[in-house]
Amino acid sequence: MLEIVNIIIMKAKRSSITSFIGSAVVVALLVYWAYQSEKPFDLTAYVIFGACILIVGLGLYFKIGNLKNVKAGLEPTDELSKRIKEKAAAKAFEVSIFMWVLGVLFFADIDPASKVMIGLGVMGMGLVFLITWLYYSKVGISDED
Amino acid sequence: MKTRIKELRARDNITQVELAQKVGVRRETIVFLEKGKYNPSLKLASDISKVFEMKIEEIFTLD
Repeated sequence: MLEIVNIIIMKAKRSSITSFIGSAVVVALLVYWAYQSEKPFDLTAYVIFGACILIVGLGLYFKIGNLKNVKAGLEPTDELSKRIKEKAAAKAFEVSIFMWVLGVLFFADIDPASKVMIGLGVMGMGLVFLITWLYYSKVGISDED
Repeated sequence: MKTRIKELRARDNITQVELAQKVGVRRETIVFLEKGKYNPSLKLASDISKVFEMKIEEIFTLD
């Protein structure tokens, strides 16, 4: 039992170290980008910078929370955290589809080639959704999924 | 869903962390269960009932 707990702690620590390194790289790239960019920054630059910092910050927040759970001898993930992740992913997919379509419709200065790319991307998202939906309709979902 | 988890934890002098360890979930899951904001899977409900040595329907009731 102790061995299993130690393995879980080791895996969680490794995953957290990878996340921390990844976050540090993203922040370093953001700082480099900000340094290289023309100043003063426009609103778009601030929005992008803020969104990136928010994503990195939230990612670190969840990782640290997982690590605390593991150190307390608890599971880093469980059925509730998996369901929350699934719900968030489903919402993100739903919102993204509309965001991309609206973006293509309302941002007139996107070149036609980019519009085609975005359209193909949206179609790809829809296709992956349909295929996975069909798959799970056939095979069902086990408790571990 | 209503639960008696908080009352039973107090009865048996078990903390949220200890209960979470016994049934293999995070402490946050126990918090949500006690507030009635999460409906557990059958397995989790069964595991919790074994900890308190009671039937599932004695611990969890649907509104």
